[in-house]
Amino acid sequence: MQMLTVFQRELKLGFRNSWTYSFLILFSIFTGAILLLHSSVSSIEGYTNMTGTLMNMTLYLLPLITLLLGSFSITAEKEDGHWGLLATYPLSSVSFFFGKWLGLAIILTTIIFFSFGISGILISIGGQAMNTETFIFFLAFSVLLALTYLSIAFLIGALSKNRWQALIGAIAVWFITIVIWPLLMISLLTQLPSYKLVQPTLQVLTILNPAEFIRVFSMMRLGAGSAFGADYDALITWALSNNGLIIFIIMLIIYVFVTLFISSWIWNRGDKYGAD
Amino acid sequence: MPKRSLIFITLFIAGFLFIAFDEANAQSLQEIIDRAEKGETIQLPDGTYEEPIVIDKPIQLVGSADVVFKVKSDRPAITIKANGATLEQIAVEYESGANDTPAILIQGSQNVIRSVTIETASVGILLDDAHENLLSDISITGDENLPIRERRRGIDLWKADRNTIEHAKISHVEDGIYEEFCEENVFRNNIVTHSRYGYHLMFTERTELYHNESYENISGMMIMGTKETHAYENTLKFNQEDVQSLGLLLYDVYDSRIEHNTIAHNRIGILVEEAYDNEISYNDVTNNFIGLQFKRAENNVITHNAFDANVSQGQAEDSMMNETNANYWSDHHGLDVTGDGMSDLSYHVDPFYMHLANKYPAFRLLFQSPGMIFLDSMMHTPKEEQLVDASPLMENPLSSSETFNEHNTAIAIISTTLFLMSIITIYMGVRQT
Repeated sequence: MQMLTVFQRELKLGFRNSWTYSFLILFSIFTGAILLLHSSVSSIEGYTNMTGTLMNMTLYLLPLITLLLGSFSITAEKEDGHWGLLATYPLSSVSFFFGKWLGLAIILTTIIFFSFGISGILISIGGQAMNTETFIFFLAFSVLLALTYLSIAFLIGALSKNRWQALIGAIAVWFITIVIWPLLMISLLTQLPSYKLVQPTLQVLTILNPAEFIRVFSMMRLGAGSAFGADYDALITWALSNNGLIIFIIMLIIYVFVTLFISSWIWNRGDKYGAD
Repeated sequence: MPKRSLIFITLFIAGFLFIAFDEANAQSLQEIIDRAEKGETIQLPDGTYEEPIVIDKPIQLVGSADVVFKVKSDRPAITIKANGATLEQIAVEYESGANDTPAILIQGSQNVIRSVTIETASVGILLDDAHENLLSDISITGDENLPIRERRRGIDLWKADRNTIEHAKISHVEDGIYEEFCEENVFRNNIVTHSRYGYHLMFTERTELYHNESYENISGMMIMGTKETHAYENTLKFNQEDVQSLGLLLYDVYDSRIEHNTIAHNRIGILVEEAYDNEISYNDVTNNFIGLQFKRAENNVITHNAFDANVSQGQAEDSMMNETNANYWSDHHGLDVTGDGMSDLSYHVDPFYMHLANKYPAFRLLFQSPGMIFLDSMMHTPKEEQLVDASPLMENPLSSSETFNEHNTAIAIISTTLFLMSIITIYMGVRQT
């Protein structure tokens, strides 16, 4: 019940926030551009160079938007004193976080739906050809990416004292998990004492980095798994199995839940000490 | 009552006679062959034959749609030792007693095998030191439940020269057509699917392959240790399931011409490894994970090919001195100032990723990762090791093979729904009190 109240409040605040609409416009332009680009290429289905490029472009922009929107939303509560007011009510930080997450999840999904909707309508009107499955794939890819990064954003928000810290944190996470991830992996893992450790370590770290996890799983589902080589045979077989998709979704849900619980715990702790 | 039982008895006797006649046939087929004169045509009566036979003189053995050799033996179902014999219109279901015994063994020359269907878990047809034979309209099906390593070859040529294999349909075997130490064989209009390798050449000279197709095998065409192979207008598609999958491999190959082939949806389109002085031109290489890959290959000419929508267009390693000019690369944004149809900007493929993947295969998981592209642009390998096209073509030299006009009603409906959903959500969110 408390969660629902927080959720409704978040929706109202979110949709009245001009930031939301700036992101909506930015993401619409972006989605329109990538979908138009994709529809102009002769390739049809499966994973191609174009699919890869567009996935990467989405990976560059969407997590960054999500991290900023999410972490600012949390620190704003702190800075503007809303939480201080809310804390006088019998409201647990867990339901506060889950309510806020749900609210922002709806807002982000709405932004994505709007962008894909308007781009899809433009493509249809313009008479451009576009594979339906590719369209739905990019939609699902974006939504999953946004939802997982939203939970990380909350963690950053809970750890930060103000918007500035949140901004630095968000950019740091974005930079590490997306931009310099391969560089980091290559330079760190080649230091491991045995080469045999590289593959399992990389696999575990990939699962912990939602951007890589979603990207690798998507590529496997699109039939590009063999590009990863023999070392990942078991992973590919799993990803392509009937249960693969379900387990993948469950893992993402667990990821979101765990991150949110940790965030609310940190938030609570900070609150107690902060009050002193 | 008695009338009915009379009919029954008559039928029973007729049936018994029929079976007896059939058995008599099967038992005496070798004798019939032995008694036949050279050049005689033996028309096989319909029925099932269970005894392996040997043809050792130039006769014509002609079956029909209902002639089946159902043989379980450690000898081949049919052995042809003759020169100039003909085998036509039969089906063979063969179960080998010993390993690797073929269903049909040909040891002679100038024989014709036509319209033969073979089902076996063993080798389909073995041409052993047999020359100038014609195999036409052959269908070979292996056991699809067997793992690939336990399967046998479809058609196996060993030291067999100047044979022609055409219109063969082969599936669920190890290698569709395999030849070793052979010269001047011609394979045309064949189709191999669901096997290990479609066409596998080892230590052969002047093999000609054209209008062949290879689908959903581990690899399409493996050309190894050969000279002067000419492969043209073949179609190699969807060879990608395995981590070793390839469309076309040229390994230790010299002076060969590979042209006008369609190579699509494979893991690696064309892999040129330790191969020299070959010409690869006018091939349509599309939708592969890696379009063209070089490993220690030199003096090859790669020109007027179309590399379109491959995940990674090309990779080169230790491969200087190849001429890779005037190809079409779909991801190249060229500039043609002179108007000669060739871009004045060169096309480069940086092998950084491949170097890394070769040294540490585990890092292949970072394939096309967003940061990998970032890293690629920072780390430059020496120019000599890059795959460079100094004058890429502006237009695809091969007419675009895949055009599609899908109806966009589905997209229109989905996007309108998404749009309306988001508008309603925003409206409700704002209006909420």
